[in-house]
Amino acid sequence: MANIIVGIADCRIAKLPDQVLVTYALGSCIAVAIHDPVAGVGGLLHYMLPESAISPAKAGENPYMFADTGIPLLFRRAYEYGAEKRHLVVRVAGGAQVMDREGIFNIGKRNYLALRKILWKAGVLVEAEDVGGSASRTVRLEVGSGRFWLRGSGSAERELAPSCSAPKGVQQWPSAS
Amino acid sequence: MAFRVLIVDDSPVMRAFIRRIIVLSGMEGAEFLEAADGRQALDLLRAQWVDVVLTDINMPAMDGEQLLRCLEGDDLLKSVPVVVVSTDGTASRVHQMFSLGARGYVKKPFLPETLREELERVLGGAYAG
Amino acid sequence: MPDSEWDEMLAVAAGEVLETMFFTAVYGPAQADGPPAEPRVAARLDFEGTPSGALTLSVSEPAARALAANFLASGDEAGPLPVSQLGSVVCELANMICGSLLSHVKIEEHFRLSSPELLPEGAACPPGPPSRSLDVGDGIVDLWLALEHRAN
Repeated sequence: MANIIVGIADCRIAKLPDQVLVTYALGSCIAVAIHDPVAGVGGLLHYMLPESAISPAKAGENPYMFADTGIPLLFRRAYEYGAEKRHLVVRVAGGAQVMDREGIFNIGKRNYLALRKILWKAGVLVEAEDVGGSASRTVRLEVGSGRFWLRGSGSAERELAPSCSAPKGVQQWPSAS
Repeated sequence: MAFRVLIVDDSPVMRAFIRRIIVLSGMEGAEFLEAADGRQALDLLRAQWVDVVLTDINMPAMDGEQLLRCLEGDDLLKSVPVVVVSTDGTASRVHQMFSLGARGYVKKPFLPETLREELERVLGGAYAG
Repeated sequence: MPDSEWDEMLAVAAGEVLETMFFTAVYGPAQADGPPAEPRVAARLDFEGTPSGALTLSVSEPAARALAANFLASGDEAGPLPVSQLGSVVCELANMICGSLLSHVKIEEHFRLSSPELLPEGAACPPGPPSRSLDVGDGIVDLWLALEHRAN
């Protein structure tokens, strides 16, 4: 397995079956993992803050720092690699309430709500998520299999499987007789 | 023939919200019918076949509880799966609605994925027999 | 249950609804000396049970537009939402907050909620300060909870 490290405020797309996208130490930050099982394309974004309006200059330098600039760019880059929106499986992790236990700034929650709004407006549903709490998380996405693994600090690694049983793009509900 | 969904809620924007979730869940080809109360829903159900009903409880004219009673009393309509979508999530209400024949229940407020998963559970998804 | 606990639960219910279906954080209580008065969109509904009462919700128009755009998945490119849709969204927000509050407070009782009614522009708010006044970033959400019988 060839690990590709995704840093803080970073995003990587990969298409080789032996590649694994990894990002560490998700505190209040959020990781968005997308995978197209048909095209064999995987993408992983690690963003820090909800809205670029607080610092357009920084967003210009690094759009992956913010949800509203990073998430659309994650999807667009995946499309450039051949991914299709209707096939994409989306998983989310992070948004913990670290550092500020009073929740006064609550960046973790605001990061999560920003993601929810962006995906809802873009017409994308989340297949699985592990968000909130107070523990830092490390995640990895296997590009070949599409499997997504998560580890909280001090706990064993576990898979975050999609909640829907059928593959995306396959009609899941019975057609009318 | 398209999969036909009936959404029953006195709020037009809530009906739009639910419709969007169903479309995003992979049912782009579904046909949607809408009713603002139980009475309108019954009229639609008696006029054409519907594959699933999603209904609120608190509605004018005829509420969701009465709608379920009417469906259960109809030999043909009682086989239509009904999912309740309501702000009332009290244990007694949920139990009551399942006793009246509801097959699923989603409490407002809900994440889009919650409704999708409940619909898949009720309609069988990959486990359709 | 004392009124103060009802008000606490009201804030919890409002936060839950705003976050879950409107993807909007509550930043905290609104500042008493906040921005000058803005146009508001307001709705009211009654509920019957033990106790019976009414919930009135008033949202500053910029906040109402942001909440409606979130709920309806409307982007900037779509242009401003029609006033009718704005009113419908505020009514549904009031409905869900009221229903969520009653579900939290009274675990076993069935309440009946009236259909929410959009209040005319400029309609007077209930007397007294709001039970809760929430800063949602784009503006203020004010909530008045009136209870006909005190429940202990």
